[in-house]
Amino acid sequence: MSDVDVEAFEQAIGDFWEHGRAPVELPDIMAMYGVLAVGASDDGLFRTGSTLDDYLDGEYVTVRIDLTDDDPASSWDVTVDTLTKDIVEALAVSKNPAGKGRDYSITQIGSKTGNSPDSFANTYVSRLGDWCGYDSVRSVFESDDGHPDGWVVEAVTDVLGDDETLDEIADVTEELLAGTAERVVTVAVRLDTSDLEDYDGPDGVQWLYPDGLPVMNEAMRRYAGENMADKNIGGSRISRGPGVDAVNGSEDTLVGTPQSPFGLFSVKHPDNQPSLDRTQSWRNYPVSAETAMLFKKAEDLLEKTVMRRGGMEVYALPYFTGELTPEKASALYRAIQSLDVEQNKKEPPMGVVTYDLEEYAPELAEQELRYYLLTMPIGDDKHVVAESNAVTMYHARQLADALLATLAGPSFAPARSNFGAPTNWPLLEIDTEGPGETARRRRATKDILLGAFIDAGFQRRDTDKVGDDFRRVADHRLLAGEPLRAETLFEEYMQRFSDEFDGTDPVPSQLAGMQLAQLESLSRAGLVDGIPPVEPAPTTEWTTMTEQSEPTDIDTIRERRLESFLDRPLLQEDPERRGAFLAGVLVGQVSWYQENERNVGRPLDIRTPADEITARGLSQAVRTALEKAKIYAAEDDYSSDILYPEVVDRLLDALEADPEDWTLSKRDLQFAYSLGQAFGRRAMPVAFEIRGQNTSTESEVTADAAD
Amino acid sequence: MTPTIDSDGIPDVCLSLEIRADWGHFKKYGRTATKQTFDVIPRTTAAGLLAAIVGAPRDSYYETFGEGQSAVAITPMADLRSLNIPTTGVGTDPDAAASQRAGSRRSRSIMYQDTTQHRQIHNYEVLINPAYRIDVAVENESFYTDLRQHLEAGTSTYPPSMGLSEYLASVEYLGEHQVERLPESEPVDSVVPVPLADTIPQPGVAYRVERSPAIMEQHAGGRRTTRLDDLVYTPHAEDSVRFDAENVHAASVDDATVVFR
Repeated sequence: MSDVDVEAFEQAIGDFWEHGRAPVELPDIMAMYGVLAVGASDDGLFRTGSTLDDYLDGEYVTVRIDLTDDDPASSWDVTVDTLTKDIVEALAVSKNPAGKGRDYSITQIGSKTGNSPDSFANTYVSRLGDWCGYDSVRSVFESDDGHPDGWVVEAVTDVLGDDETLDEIADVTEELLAGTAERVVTVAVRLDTSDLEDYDGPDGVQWLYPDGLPVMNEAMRRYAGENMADKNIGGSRISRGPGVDAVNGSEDTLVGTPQSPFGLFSVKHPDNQPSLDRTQSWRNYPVSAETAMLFKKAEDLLEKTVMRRGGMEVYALPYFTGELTPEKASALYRAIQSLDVEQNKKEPPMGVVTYDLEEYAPELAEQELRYYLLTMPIGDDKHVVAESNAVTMYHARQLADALLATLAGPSFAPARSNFGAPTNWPLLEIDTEGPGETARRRRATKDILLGAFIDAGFQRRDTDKVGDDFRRVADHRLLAGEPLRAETLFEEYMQRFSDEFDGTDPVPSQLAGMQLAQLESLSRAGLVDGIPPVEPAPTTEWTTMTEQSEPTDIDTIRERRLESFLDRPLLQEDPERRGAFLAGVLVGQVSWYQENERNVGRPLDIRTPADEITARGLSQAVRTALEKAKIYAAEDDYSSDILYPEVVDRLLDALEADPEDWTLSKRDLQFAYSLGQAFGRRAMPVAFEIRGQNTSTESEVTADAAD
Repeated sequence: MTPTIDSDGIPDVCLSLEIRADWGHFKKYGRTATKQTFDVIPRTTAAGLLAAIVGAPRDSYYETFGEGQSAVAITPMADLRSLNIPTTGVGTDPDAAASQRAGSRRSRSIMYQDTTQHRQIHNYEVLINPAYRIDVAVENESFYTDLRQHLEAGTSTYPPSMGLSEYLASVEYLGEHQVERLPESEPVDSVVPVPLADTIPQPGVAYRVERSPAIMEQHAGGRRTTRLDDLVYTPHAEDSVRFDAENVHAASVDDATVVFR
C-alpha cells in the first residue's frame, strides 16, 4: 500500500464522504464505492479518462477555433493526431454511459471498435452540435447563475451550433481521416488567458484544450447533472428539487433520475410503481447530483463483487462499520479490485475478500468488516430475491465447522459408508481428514457461500424461470444467522426426492445422506427451528464399537448400528418420527433382500416412494414388509422366524399407536421414512464391510499374539 | 396533561399503544423495479398512522411530528420476518394504459383502460405478522388530546394500516405513562438511532440496522424528508440493544425500556 494511494483516498473522503456515516442501505454502499473509485483514479467525480484506455494509439480530432480572431466562425481548423496517454487528461472526457447519449464533455468519444472516416465525421463530429444545443450546457452563459467565463462556451456554440459550419467541419474531418480506427473528437480554443477569470495555467495567448478551461468543466458538470434529473421522464420535463440527501444527510438540490447501477430504480415504467409522479421522483429517492454521480462511479467496483451461478447473481459488497479512513478505504479498494468476476463463480467473493483482509488488516477484518448481500436473477427483469446488510462470515464459518463435525461424526461413520460411496456427492465427499484444518474449513465455508451446501439437499429449480429461487433466500438466511424451519427443510427434501425418483430404481441413498448431513449441520450450528437436536447423543461413538467387542456376526453388527443411529433426540423424543424411520428401515432392508437374494424386479421401496407415502400407506408398507420378511425367512431356512428381528421388534413397539392417528406432519413423516429406507438399504452392505474389517483386525491381533 | 419534551428529546409523559397486522409493507426508497420493505415502521409512517387515528388532514401534521416537538419510540413486538409475494398489477398510467374506445363519434365516446393485457408481476417483500409498540408524545395539545381520546375509546377516523391500505392494523391502547430517564447504556427494547459501530456486542444477539425517514415537512404541494435515521434493532423481539453513544438516552415507560427520537 503506497502513500500516494492513501493520500488520494484522503482527498476523495474529504471531498465526498465528510459526513462520516457508515453505510447502511444500498445507496450508502453505492456512494461509498463511488468515493473509493474517485480516490483510486485521477479522473475526479465527473471525468472518465480511463474509458480512453482502449483508444490509445487511435486518433484524436481537434476542432480548433481561434477566439482571438474577429470572426471565429470562419477561422476554424481541424487537426488529427495520435492519441497517447499524456493527452488524455487535456481532453477532459466525461462519458455518458447510455450508448446513444451524447457524452457530457465537449470531447465526444467514438465507437470502441473503431469508426470509418465517414461514420466518425457524420455521427460523432456532428454530436458537437448537439452538445452545444443543450440547455444545461448553455446555462453557463445564458442563465443567471452562469459561469464568469461563459462567453468562451458561447463563442464555441456560435461556431459549432451552426449547421452549415458543422457540416463543413465534418467534411474536412472526413477527408483528413483514413481507415477504421478508434477516435475521439474534441475542441481547442485560442484565446488570451488574461480574459479568463477562472483559470490557473500559464498566461498568454495560447491554444487551450477543455482541461485547461474550468468553464468547459462546469458546462460538462451541468449537463451530467441534468441527465440525472431528466432521464426517461419525457419531453422537457425534469425532476429536481431542494431537499436532504439520503446518503450524506445534507441539504442540496436533489435529482430524481439518478444512475441505478443494479437497475432497481427507474422512472421509465411508471406502472411499475403506482402513484409515482415522475417529475416528483426526487422526493421518493432523495439524492443529490453528486451522490448520483458517485453511484455511477461505483459501477465497476460493484460489478467486481458479483458471483453468477445457476441463473442467479449474488452481490457480496464489503464495507466497514466504523468511520471510513483513507487507510481503510485503501485496504477495501485493494481487496475489491483484486476480485475477478470469472473466478468469483468458483471462489465466492465474500470468502476471498475476508481472507484477503484478514491477512492484511486482521483487526479491521475482525471488528468492522461487513457485507451487504443482494441476490437477483440474471436478466433484464429486475427482481430482488434476497437482501441483507451487516452480514459477516461468522455464521458461514460456524456452519462450516458444524458440517465438518457432522461428516466426521457418528452419523457418517464408519468411513461414511452408511449412505453409500461419497464420491461425486457434494457434501459427502468433503475430505474431513485431508489437507489441514484451514483448508478444510475454507472448503466447507466455500460450499456454504457458493450455495452448494443448500443445493445439495434442496429441490432443484429451473434456472431459466424468473422467480424466487428459495435456495438463495435460504443461503441469505444462513449467512445472516437466521434459522430455517424444519418443516421448510422437510418440504424441500421431499421435493428433491421427487426430482430424483425415476420410478424404476430406488433414489440413491446418498441423497438421504446429504440431506441428513445438511440437517444435522444446521442443527449443530443452531440454524434449524422446530425439531429436537439431530446429532447423535454424545455417548454414541460408533468408531469405538469395533474396539469394544469387534463383532463379526452380521446380525449383531446390524443391531448395534441401528441402535446407535436411533440414539439421537430427533428419533428418541418423538415416537411417531421414530416409527416412520423404523418403517423405512424395514422396507429398505427387505427391499435389499428382494433385490440381492430373491431377484425381485420391483422391490418394495420402489413401490412405496417416500414422497408419496401417507400414514395409511406407511401401515400398508409395513404390513407387506413384515409378510415378506416372514415368508423369506421360512423359505430361505433362516435361523429366526423373521428377517431382521432387530428392526421388527423396535418397529412393533413404535407402532403401538396406529399411524393413522399420528399428528406428525406429512413431510416430517416422509423424510423420516426416506431416511430409514436409505439407512435400511445400506444395512447389509455396511454390515458385510464391518465384518470384513473386524475379521482382518482379528486375524492381525491373532498374528500379533503369535509373534 | 400535555407532554413537555426536554432538550435530550425525552418527554415527561407519553401515550403507549401496540399495533398489529397480518402483513406489512414499508417501502424502501430507491426502488421502483422491486419493492423491498423496511423491517421497522419508519417514524414518518408511524406519524401518518397516528394522524389517521386522529383524522388530521394530509400534509397537516408534519410539524406536529417535527424535531423538538415530538418524541416517538418504536419497539418491535414480534420477530421480524419477511417474504416475497408476487402480485399481478394492471398499469394505471392514463397515457400508457387507457387505450380502448367505446361508442362512436356520433354517440358519446369514452376511453377506458384495456385490462386484458399489459399485466405485470410486481414482487412485494412483505412483513409477516408485524407488531410494534409505539410510545408517542407530541407538544401539540389538541393532537395529543384527540389521540388520547381516540385510543381510550378504541376509535379511529381513518383505518390504521401497516404501510399499505390492504394491510389493516389493529390498535391496542396501553395507557398514558410517565417517562423516566434511565442511566447510561441501559439495554433497550426499542430501535436505537445509533450507528452499528456504537453497539455493544452480546453473545447470541444479532443486530440489524436500517436507515429510514424520520421527519418530513410540507414543501411545494408535496412533502419532503428532512431527516433520516440509522436505526439499530434486533430481529428477535425478546433481544435488546446495548449501545454506547453520547446524546442517546434510554428511558423507561411502564415496563418497557426505550429510546425516544
